[in-house]
Amino acid sequence: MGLIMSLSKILPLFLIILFLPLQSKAFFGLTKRFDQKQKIAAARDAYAKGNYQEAIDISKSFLMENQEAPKRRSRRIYIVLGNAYAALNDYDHALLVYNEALEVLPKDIKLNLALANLYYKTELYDKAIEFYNKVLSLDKDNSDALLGLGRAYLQVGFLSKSRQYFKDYLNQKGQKDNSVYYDYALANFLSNNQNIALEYAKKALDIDKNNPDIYFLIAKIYNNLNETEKATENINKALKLSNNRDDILLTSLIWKVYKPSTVKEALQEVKDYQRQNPNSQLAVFIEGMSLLKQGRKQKAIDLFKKIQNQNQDSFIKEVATQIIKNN
Amino acid sequence: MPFRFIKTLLFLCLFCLLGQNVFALNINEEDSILRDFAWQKFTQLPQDERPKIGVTLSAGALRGASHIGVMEVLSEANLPIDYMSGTSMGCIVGALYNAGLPLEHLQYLVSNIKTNYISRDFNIGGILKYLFAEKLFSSQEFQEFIDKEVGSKNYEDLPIPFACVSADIKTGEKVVFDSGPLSLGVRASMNLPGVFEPVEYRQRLLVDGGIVDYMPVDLVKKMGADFIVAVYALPSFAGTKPSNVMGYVLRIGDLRGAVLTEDSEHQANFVILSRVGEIASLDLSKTNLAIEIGASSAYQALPLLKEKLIINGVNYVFK
Repeated sequence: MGLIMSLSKILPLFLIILFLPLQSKAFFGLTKRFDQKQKIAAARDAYAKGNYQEAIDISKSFLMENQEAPKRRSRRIYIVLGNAYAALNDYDHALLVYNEALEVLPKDIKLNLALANLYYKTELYDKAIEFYNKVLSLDKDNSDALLGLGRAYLQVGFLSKSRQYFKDYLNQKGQKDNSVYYDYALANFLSNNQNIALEYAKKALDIDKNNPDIYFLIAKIYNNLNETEKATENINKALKLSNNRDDILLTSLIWKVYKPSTVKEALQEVKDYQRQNPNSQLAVFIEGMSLLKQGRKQKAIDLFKKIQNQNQDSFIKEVATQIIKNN
Repeated sequence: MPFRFIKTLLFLCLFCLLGQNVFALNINEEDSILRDFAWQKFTQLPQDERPKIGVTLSAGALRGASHIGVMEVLSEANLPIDYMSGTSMGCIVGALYNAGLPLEHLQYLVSNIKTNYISRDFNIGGILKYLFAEKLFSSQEFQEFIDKEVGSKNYEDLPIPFACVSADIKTGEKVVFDSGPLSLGVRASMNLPGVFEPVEYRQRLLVDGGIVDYMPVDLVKKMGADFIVAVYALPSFAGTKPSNVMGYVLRIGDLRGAVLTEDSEHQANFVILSRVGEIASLDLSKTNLAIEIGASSAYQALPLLKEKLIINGVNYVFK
């Protein structure tokens, strides 16, 4: 009886000793998980505050701690690490991080998308297309992937696909986004679908009335449609909004040369332009063309010879040389 | 005194620098402005004021699907095409495009091609006959498929004069189709020797034209083209070994094609190379990739092509 009594006293103590390691394992597991969550939060916080190097350091230490247990590595930490490298323009490391992450989590949509976006940003469009397609194979309605494919195909020049993906995106989203309207308009402009291009460029303009690029695109569309007055009206708006941006100005000048009523104006303006841009071959060419249009052939040829004698090889120089040869 | 002089000089330099546009365009940007402007003028020129343009599409089995991507880019760039020719897959794409089949539908057809569109013998019975009775597959179904897609058109009905090449297996002669039923010539042009039975036509036994003229540049030249754009679905030998008998047959065709194409490339004014070498000749799963590669290859080549044509018609563009 005494023995039983003493055993009943010892038993709780015995049980405590028996389960203590298990409890401590659970306890330390919990604290570790808590610690990890804190690390993820700290890394995200550092990234959000723009402390990219700190975010990288925290994320890397997290990954080192979980080296033996890859499944515990969080997608979130990879995304923070990859994004932080990308923010520091260290694209090589960012690509390595995402690719490593996808070895652990190959079917993670956000990681595939992050990698696709990074490939797009680094102009590796074929790879971007591959990973956007992977995202679509995991989530067929993923709007970011649809938009990414529209833009990537626009860059590689496969315009029918680009248009299709933009269309799918716009149909699915049904929301107004001027940059998407602009890109879709551009894809149609380049595919020679001028009317659709005009419709969507105008939609982009409805949202952002102060964007010179949209006016410039509309001007080019009207020019292709041979509606010169509307083209001029829009290119003038683009010039005003962009404070006479060079590409818009030179395009406007070259259009003016081919309009009898504005050729004189073009000559004066291109001379003004040359004062600030003495090395512009195109400006010299435009001046030459203006003179040719006014019947001052010898002066024009002299200018084309000036281009011909320049060291810099270019298409403009080839054209000038050919004009001299034919005259 | 010298210090003051240097200071003044530096000040003057800075003044001059500020007086100039530091955001000036680089020469490539300036080139692209002139090119865009001149190209629009070029595409609007009447036919007698510009060079007559011929487009030739090479053979290349399913790698030749890349021609669809190339034609999309050329057509969207508004390239005026006056003559066309093609061999084998180049003949198929050229004929269907010329017959008015939308390129997007053509993409769909090639991406979803079924073996029974080509031959009724692509089944166990047909394969056993091929292996043990040495009976080649028929390609009659392909001719019917073409007729179904475009209607029973003749070469003479096509908006752009078109010709394609076949070979007479009896004599080794090159046989040109530029009149009569379109589907017959297309079938004869893609009729792989050793796989399909030769097409019997006017005492001839016709097989794939790739063995005599892989990229028929000379045809568009004879038609009257002044400027020839040749499109070559580039094979890659890259030390790989064919994996079966069919692979060897196709490899021989590609090697022969590479030799023949050297001369054709010299005759062309501009060559678009579609880098589809990594795609196997009969890999049905990669036709979409071939189309994409064709489109991106053509898009990269497009600025230079435009420039060459503008230079060629400079008098009319800048009149």
